[in-house]
Amino acid sequence: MPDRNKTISVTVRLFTGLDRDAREVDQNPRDGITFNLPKGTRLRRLTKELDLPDRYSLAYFVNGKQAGLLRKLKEGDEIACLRPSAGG
Amino acid sequence: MPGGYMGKYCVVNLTDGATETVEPSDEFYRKYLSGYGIGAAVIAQRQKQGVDPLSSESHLGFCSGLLTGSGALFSGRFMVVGKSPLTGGWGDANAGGFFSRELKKAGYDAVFFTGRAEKPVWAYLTEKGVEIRDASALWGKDAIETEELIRDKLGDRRVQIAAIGRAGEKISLISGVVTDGGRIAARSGLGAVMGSKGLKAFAVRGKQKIPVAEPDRIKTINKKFMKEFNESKVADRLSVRFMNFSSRIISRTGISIPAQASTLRELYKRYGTPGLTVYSALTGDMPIKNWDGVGYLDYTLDSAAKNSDESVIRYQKRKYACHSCPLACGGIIDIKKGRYSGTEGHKPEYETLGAFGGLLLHDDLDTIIEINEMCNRAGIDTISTGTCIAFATECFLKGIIDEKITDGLKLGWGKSDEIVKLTEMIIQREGLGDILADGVKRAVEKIGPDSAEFAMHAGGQELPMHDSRLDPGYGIAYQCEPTPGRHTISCFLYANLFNVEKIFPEARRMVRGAKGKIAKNVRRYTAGTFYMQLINSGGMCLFGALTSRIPIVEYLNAVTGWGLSADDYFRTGERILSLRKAFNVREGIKPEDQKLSDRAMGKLPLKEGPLKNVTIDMDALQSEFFQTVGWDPATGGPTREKMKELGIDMLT
Repeated sequence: MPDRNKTISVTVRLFTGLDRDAREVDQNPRDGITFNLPKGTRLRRLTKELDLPDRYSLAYFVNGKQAGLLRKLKEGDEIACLRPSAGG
Repeated sequence: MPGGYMGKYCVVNLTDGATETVEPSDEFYRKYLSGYGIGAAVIAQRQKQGVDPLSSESHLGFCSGLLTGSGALFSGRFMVVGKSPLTGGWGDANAGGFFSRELKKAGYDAVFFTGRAEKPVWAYLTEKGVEIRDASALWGKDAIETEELIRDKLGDRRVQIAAIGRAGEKISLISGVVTDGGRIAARSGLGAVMGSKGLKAFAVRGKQKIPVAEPDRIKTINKKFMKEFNESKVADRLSVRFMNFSSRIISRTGISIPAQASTLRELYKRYGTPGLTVYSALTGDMPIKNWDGVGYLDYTLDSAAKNSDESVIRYQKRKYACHSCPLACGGIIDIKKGRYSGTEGHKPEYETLGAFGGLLLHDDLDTIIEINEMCNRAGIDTISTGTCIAFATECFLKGIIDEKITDGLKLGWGKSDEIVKLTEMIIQREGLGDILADGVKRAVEKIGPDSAEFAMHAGGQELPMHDSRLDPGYGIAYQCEPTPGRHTISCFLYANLFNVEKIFPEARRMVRGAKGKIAKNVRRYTAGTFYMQLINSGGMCLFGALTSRIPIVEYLNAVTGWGLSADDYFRTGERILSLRKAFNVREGIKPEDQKLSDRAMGKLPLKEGPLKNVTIDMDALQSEFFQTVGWDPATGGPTREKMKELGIDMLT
């Protein structure tokens, strides 16, 4: 059982094929992957742990708002990682 | 004869079956290329001012592209053209597949239909000319059945067919023309024009060689292009990297979405346009809840994910590429639910996933796939149909219409059964469906002015699934272009992805000469729309232009042998755009007639989300655009001087 005073739990959802490309993935991207991380972890570290391809060129949303890689994560955050796109 | 074009078009009078074949000069093709360029030139000259598009005097054209069948990549699109019964101005719609190449192989660049058949007919074009045949047995069949029946009758699987479904037969003003088992030239309501002429289908088959001035040069261009196309450029990614660190979405004045051509390319290859759904919902690109909601808050990540990338691709049996396309963004899927369960159909596009997804707060993908197939078979525009249902839903929830009008349907956000039922009613023109089958603008005229706020359109054309509050360039496209409410032209993002300043020196000068960010963006937008006239007249695909730097000038010169400069073609783009808009002016369409709905401008801005408090100043954007293209703000079209300068003064 992780220590709630020292860790946070966040959910990561990978879209646009990132679930296939990342290291962690036997799971349905729609359900998300739960991570327990040390308090104060920034998004940058999480993306590194996920081993996302070309992670500096992806778009990140934390709880529906676009976020930078330096964003500090909080308990319960829902993180969406995508390849940025438009048109169609 | 120089290459690219077949050198003739024909005009078929369905009233008496008379056919006139015209062989235009090389000069004509240099001026208008092909596609909607020659479509607009022919219809502007042959069709009198003020003709009702649903009358026998109107003309409906099927035009191939100048580059189609030449070996140029992305060149498989054809265009349906005519006066739009939906907007009252110029109308065009295009689709990919294999129809365009076959039309040229039959020896024609375009075929125009006028008159009205006494009984339903279908037309069959070969090198021998056009034959008119009885369509009594086809009338009432859906567009896909019609294709199959014609192929069976001719005993030829290679014949290509453009047909209308039930919606076109019933003169729905949001109906289109269907090819390739479910691809649809959907916008502008041209299916209704086809239906009004009693023309159920137009089949084409030919074996002629399409002339190309320098075929070896085309091969060299393609080889070089494909090498770059398969690479991901580092420089391409820098802007996104910056955007991530700065965490900004710049709306109002800037480039709103940090998309990059190489990423878009990978996504289209892997998923097609459904690869965009989640990102569009999160950034604010996808209109939510009839443009009054917010992605993530109103349309949750769960809901968007159900209609995006991996979720959609699970249904895909095989990929589908149009003629000469290296991207292959299409897909054939298994339909698992509803009336077409157990059959195959086309994968729904992002626009359909948005119009029957976020716009209606609806997330049942099986239902959306069923509706997509219903609409494709009926030959009706999914963007307009979804928008009509969103309009009716809001009217119902706000008490403007009741169950007497909805025939007992209890409309509400996200209700699959009601959405399917109302789609069917629109296709069959039953009850409320009869009111909605002519689009939201006319529905307001029948339901009452209180409903106007909920009708999302510009000039009568329902708005696409790209929010003008996020990228105000869409606002210009929706409000100022010859075909209002259209997303496949230009916007601030597209203009960047097009790389227009690298293709055309004149575009570079135009943008550099602008003062201020808005002026720069509008000028870049303008260069983008000139470029898109070349793309469309060439029969090229927007997605090719978004995902790569198409060597358009090289292609045009290698195919035609004209040896014109990039700026010569830039001028041609301006001419075609101005001609199409001059058509609207001649038909009495004023700038105020194409006004964008208030919600799409953010007149009452959203209170949450990425578009919080965003209002776009469409008057300023329109004024800047008209000034850039040299159009008269009073008429919304080119001045007499401008038309003379461009050589299109036959419309003055």
